[in-house]
Parts: sequence; structure tokens; C-alpha cells
Amino acid sequence: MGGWTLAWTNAALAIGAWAVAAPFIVHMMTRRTPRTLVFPTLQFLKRAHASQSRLFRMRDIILLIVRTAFITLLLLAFLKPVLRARAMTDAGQQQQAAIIVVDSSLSMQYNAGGVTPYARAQRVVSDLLDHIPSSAATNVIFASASAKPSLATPGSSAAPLLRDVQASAPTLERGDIGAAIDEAVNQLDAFPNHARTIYLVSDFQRTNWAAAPFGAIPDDVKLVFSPVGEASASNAAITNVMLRPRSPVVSEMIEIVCSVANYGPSAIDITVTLEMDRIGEVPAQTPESVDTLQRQIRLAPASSGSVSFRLRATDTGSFEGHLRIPDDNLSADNDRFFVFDVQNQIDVLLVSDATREAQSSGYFVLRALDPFALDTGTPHASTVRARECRARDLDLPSAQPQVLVLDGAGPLPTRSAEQIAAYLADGGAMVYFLSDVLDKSNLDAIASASKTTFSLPFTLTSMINHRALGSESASWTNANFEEPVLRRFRDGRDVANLLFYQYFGTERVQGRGQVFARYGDGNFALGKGALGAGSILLCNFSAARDASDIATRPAFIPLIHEMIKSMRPQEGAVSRAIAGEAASGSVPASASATGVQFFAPSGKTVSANTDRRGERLSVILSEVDEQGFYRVMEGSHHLGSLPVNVDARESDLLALSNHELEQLAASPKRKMAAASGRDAIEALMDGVPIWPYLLLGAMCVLGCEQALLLMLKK
Amino acid sequence: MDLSRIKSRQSSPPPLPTAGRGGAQHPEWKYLSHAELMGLKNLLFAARLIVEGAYAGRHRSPYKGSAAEFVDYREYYPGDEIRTIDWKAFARTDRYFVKLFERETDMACHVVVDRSASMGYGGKAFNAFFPTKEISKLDYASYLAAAIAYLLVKQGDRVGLTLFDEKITANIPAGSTFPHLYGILNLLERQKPGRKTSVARALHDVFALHKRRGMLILISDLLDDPVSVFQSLDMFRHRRFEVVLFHVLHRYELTLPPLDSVNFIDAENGEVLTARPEDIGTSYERELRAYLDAMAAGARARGIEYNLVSTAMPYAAALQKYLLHRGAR
Repeated sequence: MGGWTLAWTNAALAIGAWAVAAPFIVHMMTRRTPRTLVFPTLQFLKRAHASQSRLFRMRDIILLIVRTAFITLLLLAFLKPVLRARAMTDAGQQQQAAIIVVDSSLSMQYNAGGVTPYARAQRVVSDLLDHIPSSAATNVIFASASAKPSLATPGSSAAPLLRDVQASAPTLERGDIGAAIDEAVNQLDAFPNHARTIYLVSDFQRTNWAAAPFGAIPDDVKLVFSPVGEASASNAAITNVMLRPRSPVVSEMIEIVCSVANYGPSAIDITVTLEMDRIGEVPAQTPESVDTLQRQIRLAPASSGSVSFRLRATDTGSFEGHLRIPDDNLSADNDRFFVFDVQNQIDVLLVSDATREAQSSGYFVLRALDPFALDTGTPHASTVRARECRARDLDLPSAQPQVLVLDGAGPLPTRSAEQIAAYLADGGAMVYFLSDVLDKSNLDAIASASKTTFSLPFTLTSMINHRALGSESASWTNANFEEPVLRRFRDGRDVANLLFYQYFGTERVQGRGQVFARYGDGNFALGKGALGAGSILLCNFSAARDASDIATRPAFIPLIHEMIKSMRPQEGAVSRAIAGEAASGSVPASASATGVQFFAPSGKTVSANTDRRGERLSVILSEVDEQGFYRVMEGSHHLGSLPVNVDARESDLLALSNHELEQLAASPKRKMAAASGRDAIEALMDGVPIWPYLLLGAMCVLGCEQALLLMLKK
Repeated sequence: MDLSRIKSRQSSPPPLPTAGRGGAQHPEWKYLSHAELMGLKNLLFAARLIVEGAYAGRHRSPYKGSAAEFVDYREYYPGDEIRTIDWKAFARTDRYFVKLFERETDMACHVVVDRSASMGYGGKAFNAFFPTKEISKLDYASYLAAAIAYLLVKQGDRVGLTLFDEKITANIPAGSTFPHLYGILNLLERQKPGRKTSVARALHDVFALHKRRGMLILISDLLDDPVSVFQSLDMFRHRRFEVVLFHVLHRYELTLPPLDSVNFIDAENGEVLTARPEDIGTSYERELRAYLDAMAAGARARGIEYNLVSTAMPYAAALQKYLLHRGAR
């Protein structure tokens, strides 16, 4: 990488270069101009001359060359040349500044044969610090989820750096290489006139380094790559946990899907174990223990797969789940922690300014969702608990619903539109009954507030009023009954008889969303779009009496419930917090919310920011460095848990080769080198001495000269 | 025969130069310096014994049976046969004299000397590289030729001289007098290295000059195609010439000169080769040895006297070696 160049450690002796001319001078001095002699006959001379070998005739020149070569090799040997990496040259008399970036991410814990890449990295850093001149400004940056420099600014003493390195350990975090490189560049900016070098000591995991911002490094900064990873590493890891549905309710069948990956060269059989602290009812036909469930999976080389655990939620509350596979050389990614809540009901929030108005769509929808919603004093066993609020009163962060319904909502204030956009972007679900021109501007407001693409299946044109047009009504003539929302109405009779008097004209947006139902005039009645991770069900109709008769139909209530159920997130990841980053979540708030403590998986107390919103307590742990459950306790009462896991990207140990690194980091003027291992470091920093070979060569040439003389004598 | 005749005969040859390079009185007669002459005089006894012994009785005279006729006296030299001393002349003069007999047939000796460009190796230009003076192959060959000629003349034999490079450049027919000898020496004195070598062609031309059998002494570096050279020599052998080869090579031709890097230039065709002698010396000597062995084998197969002579070898020693070898036959 970068090539090698010759450097002379004893250049002062170059004054002896004149000695190279000595053989030539002697040759010229001893050479005689041929004397002219008239000889009786050349016939015998010619025969004798012809019998001479070409080698013999050229012997003077050959000996001159050989002797000059001997002197030259001898002189070169005395100049003590070393082969030095091109990246390490031209420092010369210039002051040096060096930053050593040490990868302290999870993958550096990989332990095969008793030595981890991190242990090798510590030795490499120690060797580098030994060879970097003591006058150089040096610092070490540990690259984990954030860049952690050993010193605030580079200094000339290597001792504190060495202490830090020796005392350090790899983390459970994913390495943020970009942050580390940025920090290194920032620190080197203070030394613009120095010969600057960044040493990168890592296993150069592809998932971390493929997108490393080498372009941010100035061209005059030399890069030295020091790979310390295993030549071939195999690893198995749990990469994800999904819950289906994402927010289960009591008595619902829950499926816990565990994704497992095999980053190894051979197929493996893995036993996946699930432990739950509160386990629901196990299906009767399965013989597993209530506390621990196991599944087997066989994974081909470099492949991934999943196993499912099906449980029935028999109780409400929060549950901790712990998935694990047998330990291997990288054990931290063999565990996955997750938490999920089992609700007693599906929480729906209806945003409407007209629920109190009889005959309004909001009124009918609310009654269809939750007949007892308006009567809060009565306990009910409905599967849906509907709350309602006005558009201007919307406050989603305090209690996010599973499904948000907008029907007859007034003009959305900007704050409300932003909340809806954020809610949807985070995976929320929304059903929007379009009944008024205000709905068009509300959709526009949500689109404006969103930071991601708002993908709707159709746009709204003008309102169509069949009664005003004299055509009485329209019906759904075309519907996709395979969609979950309409599956129940597969026979078509229930929805075919629905009459619609008023709805928006629509224009299809090709390639965006899906449409499920269409009116006889071709306008779309039902469609689904997306915003971020969330989804929107657009209902181009209203339940108001003057807009349709669906509220009077038997299919209305099941249709509304199917909409809610189909829009509820069917699955979702349940372990998002990553070691090294902030972890946040909400737990049920106690009545007082005082005396709440937070405990790391190891049991140590940690601090957190909290925010009570209604019945929930939002918890933000600014930095988590352990894997497991961070528990929120109020005395002995376990309020809730925040699961923290390792980043699954650290499990893929496939590394970039030196060539690939060179290509990634290459720029026209950049100098690069690679060295791993003590010998390579020494060769890199001090150069490979080649003077012994030159001396040997000189002796060989001397031997050749003697052999030549003997041969010529014969 | 009176003694006055002997005295006049004694005074017939002019005083030989004793100054010059070796101390001959006449510098131009450097090849017969007194010191060298003294050396030659040392060889004369053995040389005379061998040559006369070899020639006397071996000459195949077409006139068989004829006795030798007394013609003259000459002063006694140590080594002469005692039986040839004229005791009567000693009684009269208190000096030793030997009788000279006219040979019915005299065998001419033709000294053929290579003066091509390659024979100039080791001369003045060469001496620029070395602190001690080196003698060129041509000079050495000339010394050798002079010594042979002198010996032969002193022995009363006829000797001729032919110089060649790619063809004959000078020829002195065989003669036995001292003036003749002086002519030969004079010619040798004046010689400088010539052009390219063509031993075979030159021998062809020499063969055409000499109809009667005799002795052919070839002094050359023989840097020519051995097959062609031997084919030419075969002609002389066929005519029953006695052939003696003096293969003259410079000592820094037998081994490469101890120099660093050298641009070797071929003396005869100008080709250039740059090499270091120490690097290719062993291979060169191996190649040269193979060539010399081939030359010796070829000569041996033809009954040709072959003598490899280095310029480092004293020429008298070279001659003595040859004469002793001949004496053994």
C-alpha cells in the first residue's frame, strides 16, 4: 500500500561517493593505448584471436564493471539504506504530529485463541508510541459510539497515552468511525505546519469502515492502517427481535420473531432460547416450559434466518424478554433484550371537532369504535378504547395511541400537524376520513411538517355531491377484498350496498401507496399511503348522514373496527436502544413519580431525565454502556424497563482488505501505508534495513571478480 | 711451385674489414667483422672438416675415376688434414702450407635469401619498444648468408646469392673467389626489406637459373603456403639438389613481444589486428607450433635439411648446429 522508498540513515558518508570512480580511474590510468607494431604475418594471430572467448576479450570492461559494482555496493552499505514506506518519508527535519485512532467497538472483543483484536491493538499502539519521535505532538482517540480522545489536545508525552491505552477496554458500542476521523482531523488542524499522520488501528470491519469519511482528511495527512482483526472470523449473532403485533392486547396471540445470522464459513445449528419474566399461556400442543422456550435453527454459511415463539398474552403489563444463543468468540451479540407491553385494549385517539354533534361522522365513528367512550365512568370490555380530542388540543407525545383517527378535524395548528407527522414517521398509524375541504389543507399541513416523503395514493380534487348532481349516490364497484381491512367483507354484499352521496374527486398518484376500493365513477374510495415508518388509511367518504348511509349499515361498525385493526402496526422491532447511545422509552407512571431510581443491568445506579405525561413517564438515559435491562424502580416496585442491546452491525466481522482500504482512502496526493504486527510496525517506522544485503552483495561481487580472474587466467 | 707464388696467393685477398659493427675496418662490411670473423674462424675447422668431408668424395662427378690435380698452396689453418701439409714447404719456410687440388667437379652452393617485408621484423621500428637492440630477421639472414658464403669461399667452393621477395630481386651467380665473396657481402649489406613474400614463385625462378645440381640453401621465414613451397623445393630435389632450409623467425615471433595492447599490422598486406599479447600468446604459440611442425614434417618427408633458427640464437651457433648435423651424415 503506497509503495516503498529508499531512505539513507547514514547519508553523511555520501562524501565517499568519489570512491566509486576509483576503479574507473585505475582502469584509465593502467589502460594503454595500443602500440602499433608491424608484424610479419597476422595469420597465426588471427587464429589465436578468434579462439579467444568474447568474455575474455571484454574482460577489462567486465572487471571494471564488477569492481565498480563492488565499490558501489560497499559505499551504499555504509550509507545504511532502509526501505521505508512512502507514507513515512519526507518528514525529515519537520516536526511531526500524530493521532492514533483505536477502534474500541464491540467487534474488537472477538476472542479466538485467547487474543482479542483489542489486545493486539494495544500492542500496536504501544509499538507506535515507541517509534513516534518524542518531540512529536501525539494523541490517541478511542473510537466507539463517540470519539473519546485521551488528551484534550495532542501532547509530546507518550506516557499518559500509553497508560490510557493499557487501561482501556473495548466497549459494547458500535464504532463511529466518522466521528473519530473528524476528531482526529480537528486535533491535527492545530498543527498545520507539521508532518501529520493518522494511524488507524482497527479490525476494519466492513460495516463500519466502508462509509468512513476519508474525504474529510486533508491530502497532506498521511494515513497508516494497522489491521489487527482475525484473518478469518466466524460469528453467530441475534440481530433483531420483532413482535407481532407490535402492541398486543390481552388474549391476543403474540409472535416473537428472532432473527439470527451466521457470519461464518460453515453451516451451524443454533439453539435459540427465550426467557420471559411474565409469560403468557403456551399453546396446549407445545410441551415447552412456561419459563423458557427453545427453538432450533440451521443456518447456512453467511446467511441469516429467524425463529418464532408464539405465546398468548394472558395478562396486561410490561414483559421483559431475553433471547440468547450459545456463546461463541463474540458473546455480547448472543443476547437480545426486549420489552413489550400487553395492553388491555387498543388505544385509539379520534381527532374531531364534531364528536358532540349528532349526525356528524366523528360522532358515528366514535360510537362505532367505543360505544362507551363518551361515558368515562363506565368500565367496559371493548377491545378498543377510544379517546377523542379537538384538533387544536392534540398532544400526541404525552400518550401516543396505537391508531390515530381524524374525522371532522378542524384546521390543524402547525404544532398539531408536526406532532402527527412525527407520530407517523415513528411508525404510527392514522385513519383519515375525508369529508371537508379542510381535510385537504390538513393533509397539506402534515406533508409540510414532515421531514420525510409523504406518499399518498391519490390526490383530492373537488368535492362531488351526487345529490346536488341529481344522481343520488354512488357505491363501491371495485374493491380488493384481499386487503386485511376488507377481508372480512369478502363476499362483497355488505359493502356493495353502501351508499355514498358525497366524496372527493381523486387522481391516482402512480407508484405511490395502494388503493383498495373504487367508486362506480372511478374515483377512489379507500387507499393507503405512508409517511416515514407510519401508514395512513385514506377514507374518501364520511360517516355523516348527509355524506353516506354507512353509519346505518350493519357493516359500519365491523368496517371501522377492521380499519383500526388493520392499521395497528402488525409488527415492530422491540429493542431499539443501542449501547453507547441514548436510550429512551416510557414506563407507567406511578401516582407520585418521586423516588424513582434507575438501575443499569449491572445494578449500578444511573441518572436519567424524565418527563411525566399523563399516565406515562418518559425516560431518557443519555448514555448507556451496558447491555441488558435498565430498570426503573420506585422503591421495590418495578415500574418498567428499557432494553439496551448491542448494535447488530458489529456482529458482521467481515473486514476490508488493505487494497479496499487503499481504494476507499485514496486521493491523488495522499500517502498511505499499512502495517500490522510488531515487525511490520518497526519496518514501517524505522524502515527495513537493507544494508546487510548490500554488504552481502558486495562480498558476492568480490567473489565473482576473483572467480572471473581465475577463469580468465585459465 | 715456389714459395713466391704462395706468398702472392696469400696477398691476393684484400684485407678483410675488422672494424664496422663488429669492429670491421670497413664499416660497410659489417657482416665480416673481426669478432665475427674470429668466430667464424672457430667454426672453420669444424665447418671445413664437415663441408670438405661432405663434399670431398661425395661429389658426383660425371667424370668418374679422374684424380685430383695439385694446383696451389695455401696457409695451414688448424683443423686442416695433417696429411695435406706440404712438409717440404715447411722445411723451406718454417711455415705450414697445405696443398690445394683442383676438383674435377665443383658443386655450387646457391644461397637464396628472403628479403620480403616480413623479414624486416625486428628492425629499427621494433627497437623503439625495447631497451635492448633487436636484430631483424633480414639482418640475421644476411649474417647467416654471409657466414655461409665465407665458409664456402674459404673452402674453395662456389657460392652464389639470390635475393627475393615476391620475385627475384638480385642474383649473383656462383663463384669461388674473394672478390666474388665481396660482391656477395656488398649485396647483402645493401639490402632492405622488400615487398610481399612469394617463396614458391621465387624458387621457381631460381630453379630456372640453375641447371646443374648443387646445394640450395634457403634462408627465409617461409611465410608462404607450405604446400607451394615444398612443391617448388621438390623441383630441386628432383634435380638432385641438396636442399637446406634455414627457417628464420624472430624471437618475438616465436613468442609474442611482451607488450600491452598492440595494433598488429601485417607487414605485407597492411591488415590490422588489435590484441593483447599476453591474452593470445598461448594460443598463438600453439598455432605457430602446429605450422612449424608441419614445415619440419614436410621437410623431413622430403629429405630436406630443416633448421629452425631464432634471431636469439647466435648465427654461428646456428651454422655450427647445421654443420655438426651435416657432419653426422
